[in-house]
Amino acid sequence: MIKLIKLSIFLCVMGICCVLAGCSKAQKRQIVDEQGNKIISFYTMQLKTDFSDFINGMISEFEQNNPKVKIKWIDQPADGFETKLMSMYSVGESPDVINLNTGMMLNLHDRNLLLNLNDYLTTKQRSMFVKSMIDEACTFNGNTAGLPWYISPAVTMINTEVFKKAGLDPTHAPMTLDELMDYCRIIREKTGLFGVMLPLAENGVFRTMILNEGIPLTNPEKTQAIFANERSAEVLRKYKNAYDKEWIPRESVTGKHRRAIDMFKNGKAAMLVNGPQFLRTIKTEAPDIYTSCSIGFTAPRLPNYTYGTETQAVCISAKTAHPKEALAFALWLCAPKNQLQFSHLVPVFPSTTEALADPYFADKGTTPEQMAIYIGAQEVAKGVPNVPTLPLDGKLCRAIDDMVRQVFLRNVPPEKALEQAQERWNRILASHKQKETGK
Amino acid sequence: MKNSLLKRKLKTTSIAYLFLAPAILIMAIFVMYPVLQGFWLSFYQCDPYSSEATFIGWDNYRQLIADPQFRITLCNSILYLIVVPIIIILSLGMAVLVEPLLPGVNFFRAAWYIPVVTTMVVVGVSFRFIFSEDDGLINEVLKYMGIIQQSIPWMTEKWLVLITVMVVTIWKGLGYYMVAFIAALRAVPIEQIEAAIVDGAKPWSIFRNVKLPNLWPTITLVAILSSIGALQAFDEIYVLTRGAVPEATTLVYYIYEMGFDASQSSYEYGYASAMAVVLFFIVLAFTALNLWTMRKGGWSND
Repeated sequence: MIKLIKLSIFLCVMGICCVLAGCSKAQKRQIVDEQGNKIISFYTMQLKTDFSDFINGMISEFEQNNPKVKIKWIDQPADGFETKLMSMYSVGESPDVINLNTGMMLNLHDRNLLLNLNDYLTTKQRSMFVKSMIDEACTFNGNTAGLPWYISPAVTMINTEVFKKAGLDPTHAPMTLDELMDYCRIIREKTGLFGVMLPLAENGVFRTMILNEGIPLTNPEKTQAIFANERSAEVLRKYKNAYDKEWIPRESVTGKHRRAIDMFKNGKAAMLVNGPQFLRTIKTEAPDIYTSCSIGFTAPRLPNYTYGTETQAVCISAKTAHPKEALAFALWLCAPKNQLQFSHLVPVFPSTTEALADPYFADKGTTPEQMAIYIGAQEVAKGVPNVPTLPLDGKLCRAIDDMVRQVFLRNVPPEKALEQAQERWNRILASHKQKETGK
Repeated sequence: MKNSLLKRKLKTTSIAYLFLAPAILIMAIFVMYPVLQGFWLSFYQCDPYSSEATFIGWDNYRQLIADPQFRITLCNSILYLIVVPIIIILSLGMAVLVEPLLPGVNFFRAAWYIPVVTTMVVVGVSFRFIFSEDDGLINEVLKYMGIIQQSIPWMTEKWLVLITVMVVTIWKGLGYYMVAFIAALRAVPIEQIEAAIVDGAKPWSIFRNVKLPNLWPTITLVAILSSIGALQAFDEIYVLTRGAVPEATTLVYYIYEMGFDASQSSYEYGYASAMAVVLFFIVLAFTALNLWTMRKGGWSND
């Protein structure tokens, strides 16, 4: 019995010790190592699996050129990346250089957690980037929150076999909304397959559908939403008509972009509108579809816009102990030579004019990947990201997604749904403005 | 004499508490502390990027009273309790069928238990394949047979989505509760059954008048567990619809969306905590109601 009591006490003490150890202040992140080298921590989003050699190569070359700086690279899965970052910031242990997409960059910038690069970048350094990429996608309220690292504009991947069966020209991707709807109808009627699956209620995708018709979302000051009008209602009506007649999949409203990739991969949809990097997945998982794949510009489109551009940026934490070294590393990542090397590994696009001018992007090629590179580079060179960067992007997207669901699933008249969404946007934008002025 | 008895009792009690201490410690850290933290957070507005929290009093609770999505999801969570009687009846029926040691019965026991040990992700993928509107098994078969012309909106129509999700909950939970009922059926005193047979009772009569009264504590336990599970339904919605039809999601899913969903960038920990507190009291009320019914039914834990 005594032994049991002793064991019980021992377990209690051990438990308390473990808890106290957990509660004790976490060890501070090292900013200088024993040899006096400055340590820069570098966080990326899901790059280790495929690009470990490339990133490590860039790091070692940088360390050779900057002998007093050591880079500590940590790669995180995209799922939970922001949550992880939040917890690091909340305990004052943010990484120095962070790979962020536009939405996350905006979230951090709004809280003054990113270094304003205006104070550090020289005119020469700034001018190496495609102007709109640094000025539109990475600059908010006049502050440069990051450097554009790589870009993936959407292209249209076409299953030429299905197009031929439907009597359509596989070298011609639909250009206007009406043409796209027509293609979907013809493909459905002639083959029983779908023309395209566009995830209409995922992350505010419908904003793009509105912008593609030349309808602005907000006033130039980005303080007031102005998209609720007859032209937007007409766009909604056209998609709804196609949905009701099953020219586009029912899952367009409930499915996500992964489902769209699956449908294209399984030969159930004739087109896929997405970043060319997904061609890798198609190549490995559906080689037959890949070989019969042709690439076109994003449908539907306006001539002067870059469509569905996803900008990945490198940002520097406002709390970094080594801003100059961190910026030097961020600029090294964006160096034309490195961007070009990255583009050779996967069809993503450089943000610097020098890299974009490389003959690699001018080659029309014959393989789907090379065709996508040619078309994607043309989109990037045009340079205007079509979705304006707005604060509280997640909430704005939710309002747009809810609007789509109201129209498609609840049969709410498009005018009414647009009006409601616009009111929500204005409330969100006003609350952000109020917060900003109260700062 | 009295003093030594008291000492002995005190010693026994303290030993008992000493043995309980590790479990209490773990519960306190991993259950009680987060619960209390949730209560505290529900009165604050938190910025996820800093450790700052602003006290806002009852604002989060006021917001949830005015939030239509909260009302919808709360109603759906309560509606979800429909699965409880269905689970009880079906799992009891299955237990009655596989309880006798007949040849081949083990196959059915194992087959009916497989959904319990199958991960929810696999279940989600399989059921999406079955219920998909564009190329799902059910719609394709019904179309092929000429029964329907247009797809049945399993994944988009509010009521159908709720039914689909409930079907998954029932299908996945049956085996677990079946095992509980098999154990309870085995515990029915054989003398009572033999006496009923001697008195000429028919199988249905034996089940109704002898077995069922003995099963009452297990039925109540299953009712408690399955109603708590139903009120906290989340995984099914996460893997099947990912909240694509907001009118057909439950309160726990809405809490997740408000608190943790990266695609929504909400991270409204305070508001999510206020909803969690409401849910906590609802679950507490249901558990108390069930326990009260259990006591009324003559069951005690002595």
